[in-house]
Parts: sequence; C-alpha cells; structure tokens
Amino acid sequence: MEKRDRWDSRTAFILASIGSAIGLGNIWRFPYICYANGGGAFLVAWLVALFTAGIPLMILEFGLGHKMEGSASEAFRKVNKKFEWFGWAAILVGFFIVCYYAVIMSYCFNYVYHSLTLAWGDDPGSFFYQKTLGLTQSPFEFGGIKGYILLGLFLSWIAIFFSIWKGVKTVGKVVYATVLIPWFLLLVFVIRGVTLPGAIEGLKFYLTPDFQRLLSHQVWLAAYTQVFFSLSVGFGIMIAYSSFLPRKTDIVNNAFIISMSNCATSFLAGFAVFGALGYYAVKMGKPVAEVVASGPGLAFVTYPHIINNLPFWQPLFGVLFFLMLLTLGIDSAFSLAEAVAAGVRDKWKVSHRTSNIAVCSIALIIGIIFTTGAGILWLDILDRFMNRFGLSLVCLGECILIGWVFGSGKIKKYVNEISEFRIGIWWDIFIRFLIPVVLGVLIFAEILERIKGSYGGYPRLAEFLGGWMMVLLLPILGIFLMIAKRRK
Amino acid sequence: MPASAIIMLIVTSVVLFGGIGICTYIALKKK
Repeated sequence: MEKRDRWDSRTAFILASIGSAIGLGNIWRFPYICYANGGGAFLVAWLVALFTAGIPLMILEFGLGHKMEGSASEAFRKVNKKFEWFGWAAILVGFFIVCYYAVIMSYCFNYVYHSLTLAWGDDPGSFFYQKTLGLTQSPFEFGGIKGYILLGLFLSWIAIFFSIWKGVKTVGKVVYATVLIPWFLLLVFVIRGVTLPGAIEGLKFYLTPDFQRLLSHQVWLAAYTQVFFSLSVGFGIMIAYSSFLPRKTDIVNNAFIISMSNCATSFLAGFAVFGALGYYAVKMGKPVAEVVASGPGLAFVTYPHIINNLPFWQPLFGVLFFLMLLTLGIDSAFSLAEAVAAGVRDKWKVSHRTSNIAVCSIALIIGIIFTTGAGILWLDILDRFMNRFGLSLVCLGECILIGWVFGSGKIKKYVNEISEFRIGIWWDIFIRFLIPVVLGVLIFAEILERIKGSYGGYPRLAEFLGGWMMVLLLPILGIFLMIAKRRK
Repeated sequence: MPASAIIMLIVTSVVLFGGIGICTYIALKKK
C-alpha cells in the first residue's frame, strides 16, 4: 500500500489551514458586513456564531478526515460506500469556486502592475469595469476574451500548480510565505489606516455598537453566514488537509487556533479598511456611509481612489495592497485545488503530477469564460449559488450524515482520544441541532429570495445556467464520479 | 470614539487574541 503524504510539522498544517481559511473575503467582506449589521454589536453575534457553528464544523471535518485518512470523497466512502458521491459534491463546490477565484487573482496580478503607474487615473471605476474587464451589458454578450486577464489567469494557475507540486510536502513550505507575507502586509495597512487623518471617523462606523440590532434575526443570519463562508469548511479542504496529519496529533486545539486566527485576521482587516475609508471620506468631505463599499468594488474601485489620495508613496502602497490580496488569495486557491487533486489521487491512485495537471488544466479552461467581458457577471452568479446553496447544502449534509447517520458520538470519541482538550455534549448539540437548523433557515431564506426575483436582476436563463444548473451538477457529477471505476 | 465602541474593541480582542494565546500555550505545553 502506498504511504500517505504527511505534513512536515504541526505548524505547517496550522498555517496551511489558516491560509486556506483566510482569503479575500476577510478584507473585502467582513468589515462591510460588520458595519452594515450593527457595527460592534455584530461582533457579539459573530463570536457566538464562531463558537457554536464555525469551530464545531471544523472539528467535524478535521475529525472525519483524520479518522478516515482520506480526501472528502474517500472519507465519506469509508463512512458508507453510498455516501461517496456526497464527498465528491463537496469537492466539486471547491472546484467550481477555484475556477473563478483564480480569475480574481488575475485581477490582482493586473492591479499590482497597474499600481506602478497608478494607471486607473482619476476614474478607477471606469478603469476597472470598462478598460480592465471590458464589462458588457448582459451575461450573454461575451464581448471577447481580455488578454491581460487571461495572462493573469495563466500566471495564477502556474503559481497554484507549483504550490501543490508535491502535495502537502510543497504546500507545507509555501504557506510560510503565503500566510506570513499577507499578515505582515495587513499589519502595515492597519498601521497606515489608523494613522491617517480622519481614520477615527471610519473606525466609529466599524465599531460603534447598535445593540438593538441584536434583536433582528437578519443580524444573526449574517453572522452565521459570515462564519460559514469564511472558514473554508464545506469544500472538503479541511477533510483532505487533516487526512495528512500524523496518527498521533491533535484535532480540537488545532480547530480552535485556526478558526480564531482566521477571525482575528478579519477583525484586524476592518481597521485597515475603515481607517482608510474614514480618511477618504474626510478628504472628500463626504460622510463615511457614502464611500463605504465591499467586494471587488472596494478592492478595485474604492481602494484605488484611496491610494490616489494618500499623502505619499502611492504606487508603493498600491503594489503592497494588491500583493496582499494576491498572497491572501493564493493559499485559498491552492487549498481548493489540492482538495480536488487529493480526491483524484485517492480514487485513481495517480501521481501528484498527473492529478495536478488534470485539475489545474481543466479549471484553467473553465476559467476562460470569466475572462470575457461578461465574465464578472457569470462569476457573480456562480459565486452566489456556490456559496448560498452549494456550500450550505454540503455543510447541512455533513451535519446530517455524520451527526445523525454515522453518529456524532463516534467522531467525538475519536477526537477526544487524540486531542489536547476534550469536547463535550455541546459539540453534539451544535452539530445535530443548531447548525442544521441555522443552515436550513439560510437555504430556505435564499430560496424565497430567488423565487421573488432572480439574483442581481440577471436574466432568469443566466441565473439558471450559471446558478441552479451548477448546483444541480454537484450531485449528478458526484454520482458519476462515485460510479467511475476505482483503481486498486 | 464612543466608549461602547472601545469596549467592543477590547472584548473582541481579548476573546480572539486571548483565545489564540491560551490554545497556543496548551499546544506548546503538551509538546
């Protein structure tokens, strides 16, 4: 029997898992969600969600991967042969996501270059949407491939390919750079952000609590959503990563360290973002509420505006900012690719090189659609559906299959035997009751939203092709991969 | 900055960074 890869050290595993969890969302989503949902009061709901859903789910995935010693598909196959498709469905969620995630990395590559000359000039909005993306009016109006985005996409996949060259052996080395560099750069931006004149106005927006908002279920749903989407659970990554841990290891403490490190990074990022937004608002003579933004709009439109208005070294801060996004994104991207490659290796017993070439090249080809003028529209639809349905359904399925069918007690007993501190009955309650209920509500609320109107006002056909159909493909492809002939 | 914002800043920092510190201490102690 072929020997399974192992992490070089516990530190390498922890850094790789942190690197996977920390992504662009920590910078461009969390601060905005916090501001929009009651500021400091949101932090209460968010911390509760972290300890009642995020950490228990991570313990579940680590425990399952380590006990079964396999990627998500292999782990669920070992739970029950009939469940292998479900493991593949989890892996496929990650695979679809990495197809467009690499394109966002391509934007960052391009913007590192553009920062050198502040190429966006006085109108970063037009520069991003018109010149860089060549944005079209409709998802069906493709408008041709943008060469520079394609080049960036190619570079992203080269970087991903070499980062997972020999599986976790390479990953364990690369993460020292891809986690520590963005942390250092984030610290630079936090210091830069909070020392800018007017920063305090932005920080007030970020942190002033409106405790009344805690009575609103929307705030709690936003907190749980943020936790589910930011910890990299539900993609099969944590299952695959923990399967490479040595037999004698720890599960529970690692899950706590990794989850809290991810959230601490988000919390810190808020200071960098809102400090800069406060400065920009004061400089423009506008209220902070008017300049606040999230998502690609924050990174590629608002932030270039801020860079333009920095008192000195604008190109340097531009390069460092997009380098930070790039390094933040790359370890999330290669962890997604590695989770898929590990599934392929476990099933077909192929080499690292074969699995990596297959995964990277297929994802690169699929990603080309996102380099067209309509690319960001398709990216937006797929992102919404993969997160709101794909990931939520996988997490819900994990809780049901492990919590109720396999028995959460078996995983609990296993992790307690090897961990530095034990989990109690609270973990079973969260996995079997609380998390499924919250996820059920989230999915139900999203279905209602989609019945009321298509996502983002896109044509129903585009929503179907880029969203519903892709979600339906998860179980279909999962079953197809399950029945595909396994190589002994 | 309002006092309530500063309190939230301190509480969140203590929970997250304190939690990371305690867990890391346990990990190092058991090594």
